Amino acid sequence: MIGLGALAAASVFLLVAFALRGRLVRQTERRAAIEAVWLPVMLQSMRQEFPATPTLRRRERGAVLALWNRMTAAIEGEAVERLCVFADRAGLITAARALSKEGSGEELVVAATFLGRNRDAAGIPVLLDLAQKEPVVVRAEAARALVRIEPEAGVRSVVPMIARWEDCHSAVAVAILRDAPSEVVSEVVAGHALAAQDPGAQARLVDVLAIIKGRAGHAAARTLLDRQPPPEVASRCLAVLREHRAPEDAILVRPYLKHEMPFVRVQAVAALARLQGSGDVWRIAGCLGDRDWWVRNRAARAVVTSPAIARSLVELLASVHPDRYARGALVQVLGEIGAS
Amino acid sequence: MVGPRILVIEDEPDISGMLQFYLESEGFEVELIITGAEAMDRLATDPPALVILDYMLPHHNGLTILRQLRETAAWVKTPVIMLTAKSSEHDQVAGFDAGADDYVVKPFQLDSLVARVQRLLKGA
Repeated sequence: MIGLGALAAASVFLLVAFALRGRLVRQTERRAAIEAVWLPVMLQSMRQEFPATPTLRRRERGAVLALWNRMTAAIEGEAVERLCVFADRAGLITAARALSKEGSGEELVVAATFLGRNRDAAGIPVLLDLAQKEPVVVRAEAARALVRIEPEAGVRSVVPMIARWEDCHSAVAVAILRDAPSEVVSEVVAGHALAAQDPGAQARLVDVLAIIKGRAGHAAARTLLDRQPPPEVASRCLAVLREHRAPEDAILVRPYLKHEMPFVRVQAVAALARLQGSGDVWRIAGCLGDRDWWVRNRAARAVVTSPAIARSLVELLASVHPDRYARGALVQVLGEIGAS
Repeated sequence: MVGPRILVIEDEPDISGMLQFYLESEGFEVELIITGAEAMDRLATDPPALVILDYMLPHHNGLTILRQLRETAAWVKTPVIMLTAKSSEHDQVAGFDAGADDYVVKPFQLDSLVARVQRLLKGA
């Protein structure tokens, strides 16, 4: 009986696998057939030769728009402008707007990418709607398209969305905002970070500020640190200060060496080490005996690599420090990087 | 009459297709190659007038191919344009150090690339 059951299960599995493979092959063949018609026409249109455009069938929309997207991803300049003119003449803009309302997940991404690359201002309401949909990849592409179409206005409408999106990594957020002037992005993100009531949203926005490194972001991180924010926000603000390397920030960072949360103390040590204020290396050395391994390790790295302390003194410290954890941290880091 | 032959070593079919169409429209003969190994074989049997070389390729990267090319006496003077998404200063310096004559970052302007090809072929 078990043998028959296993045979039946294996047969069903094979049938499903063959069916899926057949479907994939048919999809690939259908896509190739569509591209065989549309690719030569798009190529000709890039050379300012406007050929007769094929009729765009409803089921071909996704494949044709995806082809247009791939072509415009690699190039810029007049050829892209000509492809935009072609898109209008061939009815691709209308097709993209329709697809963005009724397509599947992948088709929604294709439509959003197309509308953004085509800088279709009339598509903004559709994109605002897409920016509310699941999954995050659809929302992110719609948001990026909004920024592409109207960089400054787009940033102002997209940043509050990013603040709400718990599933949007800061690197994705930066990619969404990439086509807008960096100082505008920094200013708008900083403004929302300062006003945010939710610590999670505030932390996400400060994460973005740490990557984009604008002046407004630096000022916002200073202001937030002065307000003694929640730990998750404080640690990210310290990361922003670390990136900006302004010696005058040391006074804001020092109190956080004593913060109750170890992940904040780690960031404080890292920031202070980068700022290299006078006497701060000895404050960092004070963290060598911290109760958390990561803080001790980061402090030991800062001490060993500091130009303000002679190597002989560090080695002496590693042998005579009264705290055995501090000695251990120094010996470990000296062993890892001290010899180089 | 067919113009000088250009070898395009690029693994993205959309980009190589565009390059082929554009360069052939300008009168060049174009051959498309996808992998580094295939490129080295083709260079050995029938050297082109100019090479457009992608940085990131399956199996061999573009820099390795370029170094091999420059170490072979017959190909030392073959003009090479590196075409890549790698835009950092470090990558560009590495490309020129390996022997590239020009370096074009994606996304690129097709008309500008054709002009660079024509300039290098005039100087070759």
